[in-house]
Amino acid sequence: MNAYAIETKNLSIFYGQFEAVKDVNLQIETGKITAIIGPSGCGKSTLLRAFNRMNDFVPTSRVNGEILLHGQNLYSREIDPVEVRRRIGMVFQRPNPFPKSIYENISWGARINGFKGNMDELVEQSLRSAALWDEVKDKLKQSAYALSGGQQQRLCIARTIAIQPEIILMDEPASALDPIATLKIEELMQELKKNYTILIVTHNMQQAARVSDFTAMMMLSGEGERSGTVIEFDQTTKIFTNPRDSRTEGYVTGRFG
Amino acid sequence: MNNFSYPEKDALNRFIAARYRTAWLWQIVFLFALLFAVVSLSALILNVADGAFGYVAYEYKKDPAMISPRPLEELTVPELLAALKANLSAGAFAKLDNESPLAGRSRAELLGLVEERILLVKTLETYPLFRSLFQREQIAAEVKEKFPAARLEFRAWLNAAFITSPQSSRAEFAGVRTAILGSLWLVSIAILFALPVGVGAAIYLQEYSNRKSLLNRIIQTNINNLAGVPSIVYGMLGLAIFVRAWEVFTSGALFGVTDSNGRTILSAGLTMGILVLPLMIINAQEAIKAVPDSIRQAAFGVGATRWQTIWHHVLPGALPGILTGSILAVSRAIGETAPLIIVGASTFITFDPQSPFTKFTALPIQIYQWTSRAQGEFHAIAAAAILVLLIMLLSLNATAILLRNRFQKRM
Repeated sequence: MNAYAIETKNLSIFYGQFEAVKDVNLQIETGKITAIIGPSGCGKSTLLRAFNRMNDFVPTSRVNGEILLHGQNLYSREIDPVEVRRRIGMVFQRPNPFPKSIYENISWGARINGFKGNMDELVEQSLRSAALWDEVKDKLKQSAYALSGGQQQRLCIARTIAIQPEIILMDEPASALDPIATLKIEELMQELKKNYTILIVTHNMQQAARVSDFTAMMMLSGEGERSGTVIEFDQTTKIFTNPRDSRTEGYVTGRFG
Repeated sequence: MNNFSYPEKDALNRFIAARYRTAWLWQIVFLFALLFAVVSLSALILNVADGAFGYVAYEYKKDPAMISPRPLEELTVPELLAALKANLSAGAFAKLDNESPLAGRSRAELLGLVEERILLVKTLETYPLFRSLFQREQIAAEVKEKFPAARLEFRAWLNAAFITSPQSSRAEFAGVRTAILGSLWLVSIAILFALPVGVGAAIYLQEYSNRKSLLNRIIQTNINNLAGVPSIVYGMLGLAIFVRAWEVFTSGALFGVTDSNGRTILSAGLTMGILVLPLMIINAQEAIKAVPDSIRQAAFGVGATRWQTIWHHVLPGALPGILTGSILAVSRAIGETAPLIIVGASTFITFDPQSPFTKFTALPIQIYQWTSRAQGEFHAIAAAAILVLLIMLLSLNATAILLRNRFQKRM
């Protein structure tokens, strides 16, 4: 039907009466990394969380418009949010492994989703895909809390890979990490995009420029407005070298935002 | 230039010294607060211990020489048995033998029976621990003058016999066995009831309900207030509901028990359960709140349902806190007296509670009853019972703390 992994149509997200994100139309390409950038408080994370229905946990939140996965609206009545979160995985801003062993961190998600197969193999493969296997293969039974921050974040990525999602959402995955751990995560993303579509929210424009193929620039939709919207969406090179919108140019060149 | 300035040189030194003085003053105040607390608690313990040990002057109505020319303490089991057989009526002897075969009883127990039934021991005067330790001669002289025939003996009222004997109308032979068992039954029923209900309510309030809705705010406020309601009010509630309205259930009539009314262990245990329920809910809520939200997000993020998230991550994380809450609940339940009096605890029970549908007594009830007696020896056993209550409380808490630490270590 189309080549897009996921797309939004006139998507608006509300918290009660407050419209946090307004009228977003995005086409996310399969097998690419798409970055969402923009100043604080413009609704980047809100938009990202709409993709796997994490906003459902905010009691007053509601969505207008559509998010289409293979042509099917994720917010239609027939779709269960639990299924959405299996198909669209998420890595959070701060590493948040479960207070369990490294092994269980990966096997738990698989088990509750009805995984059938060799669990040891799944754990190994997921850890290898997250470039963590060599560092932890001798201590799988140890607590995940004993790992460094960067290792914990890669464990969280491994945990997400293990449930074999189609799309991985990353909410500023490196903002709590040092530059070396950040570099590792970025290298890992390049590996992962061979198999997954990745959406990443980041504050770090160099990071967006380095890792992403496409960039969505978000900003408050106007003077005195509180709603954020996507003001420009294009190939990353264009956004950073030849943006159409003067606000984008101001932001990426550091003159503003 | 502007007119902002900070102290410099000498003024700065003086200013810093003044700040240190203030800090030092507060430190002293806090130290005294701590000392006051330590002294108060020590005084409490010493006061109880003072009553539970000490000299006692007593006499036998009958001359011990009528049993044997040798001192009583040297008599062997067969000799004591023979003395009982010779001096008691055949009926009384058969009754004692029926309760528990006399030949199988310990020497201390037989000696107690001889003193109680044959020699008719009578306590004349009891002395507190500290006088007994430091004014030994004075006490001896006083006893010699007031009771020429009396024997003087140092006694620990808190002893093995005290713990293993049932209630008795004579302080010298009374024990707390029935009261300990009653208290254990009570606390068990209260926790069995309050723990699942309290944790369940806390889970619903924290994890499922909309915290901001008006109804939930009203419920929350009421739970918080209920935690502070005087316990006697819960006693009234227990009397109205468990003892009276649910008598068919609490008396065991529903289960074929015919010889009791609603004033049973079950009624009292449920009343205690209701009493500690707000405490349980609030503590479980705090424990659940303390589980970081990032863990829930992580679980939802890999496609867990709400229940899977709660069962696998929230509850294990909250368990240590829930156990701490249970410790507080047990401590509260074991020491409560007023509601037990209202729901009708018996003060004189000589048999062990066998089922939830029996009459019962509990440690605080025993203590309350004994302290209200005029005779000094009852005050002494009340002090001993308080020590038993404290020891029981400490060991229950220690168990819960060990359990909690075990769960905490699991990552």
